[in-house]
Amino acid sequence: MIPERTIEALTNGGIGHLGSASADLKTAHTETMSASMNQAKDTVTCFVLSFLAGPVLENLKATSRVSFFFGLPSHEAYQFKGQFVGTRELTADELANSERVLNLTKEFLTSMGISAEAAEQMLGTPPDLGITFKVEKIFIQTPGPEAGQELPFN
Amino acid sequence: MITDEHQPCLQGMFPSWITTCSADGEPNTTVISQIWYVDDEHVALSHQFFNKTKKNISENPRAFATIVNPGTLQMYNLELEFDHSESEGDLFDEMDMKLEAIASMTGMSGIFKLLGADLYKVKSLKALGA
Repeated sequence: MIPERTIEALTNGGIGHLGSASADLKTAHTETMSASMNQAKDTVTCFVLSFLAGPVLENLKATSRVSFFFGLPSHEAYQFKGQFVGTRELTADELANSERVLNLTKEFLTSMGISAEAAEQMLGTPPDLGITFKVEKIFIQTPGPEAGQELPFN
Repeated sequence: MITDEHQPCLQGMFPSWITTCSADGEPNTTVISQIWYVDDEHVALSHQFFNKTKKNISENPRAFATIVNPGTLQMYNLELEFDHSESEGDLFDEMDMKLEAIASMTGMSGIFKLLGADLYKVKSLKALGA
């Protein structure tokens, strides 16, 4: 089971980056715009923009290995590592959750003095693809004494 | 390759992200507070701890980073390759001084000691969506 303490950051955040590496160890990542999970299968689906995800998808098809860094504006952050399962269309619920998370993030950015236009430029295009992977390892990335520690899993 | 357009992204006003990979092919993605401008073909990362990024780079010099313009939030992707590490000189002193200033403001003076300025060659730099 994916640990309870990560679920809030994953489903109410999930803004982050999905990393990958090619067979010759060249890395690439793409932005994630929230995520969902399947507790029964220990899988996570990251919401991405397909027009930016090409290099990552190429790597995942070749090597299957995933790193997913995500967090909340509070700085609570985690990194999940695992194996690529596949891609799929996002459900209406997932798109609605992504819209909610992106709107909250845009509000956070504008509260810090960033213009609404800039926030819209970064987060204004809704995701159109889900990249699913099976979670194998979880690391705490929140700055502080626990940073880098592996969370017990399974 | 790095122009005036990219300079605001390298001031530490907005976090950057980096993905590295171990020798056995496991990627690692994390956030970093700043990527430093060195010259139009090189950037630097601070080495303060022997973390996973540092370990991966010692095994495989390739990295991929995203920087953000704090004014426009335009993002840029950089393909990087580790070049060398410096533990003295102007760049090291500048990075050390800034890190110490941040540490002293957060009550962490002397804890986040700079061990090295790790220089990377910028292999490519591309605006997202371009």
